[in-house]
Amino acid sequence: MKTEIVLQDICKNYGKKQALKHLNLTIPEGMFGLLGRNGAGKTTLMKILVTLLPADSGTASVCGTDIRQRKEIRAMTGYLPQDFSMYGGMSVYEAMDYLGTLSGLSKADRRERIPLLLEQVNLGENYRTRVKAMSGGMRRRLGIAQALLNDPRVLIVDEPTAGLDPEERVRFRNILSDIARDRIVILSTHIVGDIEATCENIAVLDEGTLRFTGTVDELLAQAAGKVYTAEVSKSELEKVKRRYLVTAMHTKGSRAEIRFLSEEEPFAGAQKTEPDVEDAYMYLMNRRGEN
Amino acid sequence: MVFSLLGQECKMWLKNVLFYAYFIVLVMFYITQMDSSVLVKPAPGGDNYGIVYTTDETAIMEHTLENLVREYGQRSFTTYPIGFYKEVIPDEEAMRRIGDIISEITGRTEAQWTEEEMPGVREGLRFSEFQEAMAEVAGLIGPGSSYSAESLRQTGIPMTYEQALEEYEAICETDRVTGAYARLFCDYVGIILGILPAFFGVARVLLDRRSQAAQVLYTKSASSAAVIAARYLAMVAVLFVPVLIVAHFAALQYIYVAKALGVAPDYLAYAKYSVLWLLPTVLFVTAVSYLIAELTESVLSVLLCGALWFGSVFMGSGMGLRFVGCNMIPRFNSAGATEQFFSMLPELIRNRLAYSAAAVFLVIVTGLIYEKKRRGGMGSGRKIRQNRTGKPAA
Repeated sequence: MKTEIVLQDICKNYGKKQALKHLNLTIPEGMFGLLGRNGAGKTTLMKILVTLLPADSGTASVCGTDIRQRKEIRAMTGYLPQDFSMYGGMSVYEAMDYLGTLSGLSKADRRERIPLLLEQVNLGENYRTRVKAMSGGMRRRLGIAQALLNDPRVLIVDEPTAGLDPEERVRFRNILSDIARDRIVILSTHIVGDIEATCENIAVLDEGTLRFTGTVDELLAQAAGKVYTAEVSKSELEKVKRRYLVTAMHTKGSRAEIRFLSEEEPFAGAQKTEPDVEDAYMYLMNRRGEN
Repeated sequence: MVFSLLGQECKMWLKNVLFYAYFIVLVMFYITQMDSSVLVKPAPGGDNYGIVYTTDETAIMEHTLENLVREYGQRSFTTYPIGFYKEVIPDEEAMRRIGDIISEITGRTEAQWTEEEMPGVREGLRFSEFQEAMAEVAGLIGPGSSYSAESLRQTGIPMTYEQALEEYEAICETDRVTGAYARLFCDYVGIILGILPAFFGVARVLLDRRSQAAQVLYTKSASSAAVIAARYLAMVAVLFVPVLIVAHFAALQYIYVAKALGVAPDYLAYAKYSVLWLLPTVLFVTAVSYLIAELTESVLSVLLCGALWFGSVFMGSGMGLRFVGCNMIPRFNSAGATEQFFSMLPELIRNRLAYSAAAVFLVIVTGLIYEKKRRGGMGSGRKIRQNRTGKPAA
């Protein structure tokens, strides 16, 4: 059976608010980035995929299984919510053992699998550490380990690096990349750097609508030739900011190095440069009114 | 999976301070409340053999009249309106009317019956007339007095030597000593088990909420029925095993007494009575608490269980503390009265089966609620709500 997720015409409303509007999307094997602002509909989409929310209309299948077959879907997915935690009084091993039982693993399977997973997320030395004593980064790694207990074909991770320090963030991205082989890993985030470092395919959601889907290179291609750098005085800066979308700025004394988006050739002294994912994302989101 | 989960749930409770608090309260309640009187064979010529509840109408009328005249003389009436003591001092008009009622049922003037040490009812007074008169007195004094219809049905009179000996023999032969005291144990411990399990249901649900574990738990493949059954049975186990432990220690005392009296004790009497009498209370209160907590995710459950407990404890307060009916906490506050207990036993069994069945039903409903929550049918997540109200979670 093909390892892919297919969403067709998915809608979800909360009262009068439309969280997802006729969403059509195919998610292939490997790391898949789901990018969008807060409130774009990312969490709603992920909750639909892990059976925590029903879609109001449309169809969805995970590796050929209809999303309404909850038991089967739960058996083949792993989920790490953004605010993951477990019972504070439990040790790391006890938490994994408890969640392994809920995942339907036998005692023998749990004994074999839990140490391997804890090693994989660098918690091999922390069997007895209490959950309440763990740092945010350790807790997220425990979250990944528990999501892998049932060896899922689909792993769904919501804002995994929010609030982590840079070192922990890099470590977390590497873990995700390692486990993305032979399965779908959906990484939902509003941090563009996470996508840039890990994902080949992405989708951009905005107010419940799919703004973009494709490879990172395709997203970059959209912004090609639209990104410039320039050095301006602080007095000119406000004028530039009013006219162009500034994506980065670095002040140096009375002058500032800026990176900005422009559809046409801007002022003299500005130099065209290669877009990064953040530029491309900002370009896409800024173009919204044009569509 | 259920048994594995059950074991892990029990282990969790054994690390929870609530479990130890419960155990301590249970032991303290037993130590401080249980009657530790020693069973002795009554000897002829004794001053006091205790009391016996009577259905003899003449005895009821005489005993009640004696009580009424005494309280009238003191111008103070003892009542237990909701189980708690309350002294009632009627106004002058009510006192006059009570005096008139006493005159009517004695057939003598107040001056005459106040002179007598123990005035009797007038000749030919029917019991129904007496009941009507007492109902009026009860109305003047207020609820919970000794003159209400319920109190008249449970009039205690001094036991004779013969009655005391008969009761002693029933305790030794029918109850084999341990059975009689196991009943008393269940009567007392049942009171506290009518409320303490309420805290466990709430604590279990709030644990998921406080630790933000619910969403991860919901996405696992275990069925809601398995999860709820394991959690519920774990709560019942950690609530009931301490009861059996305390019961075991209580039993040792009366096993010793029985042997000292030359009676072969029933070693399992405490366990049998506890399972029959107390386990259904634990099952029911835990189920109510768990259901309401799962539905509201708040401590409202404890308040509702508290109200249920309050009503149950005082339902039988005017019934001489020997009352089953539909009460969640059946009462039989006596180590003796063996014959009366066994006549009530079928009613007790029906009551206990009904509460056990109700508990099973409530647990099934709890499972359905849990499944609905897993499917996003009852609230759909903190972050989504935050985003909708414009307060991003991240």
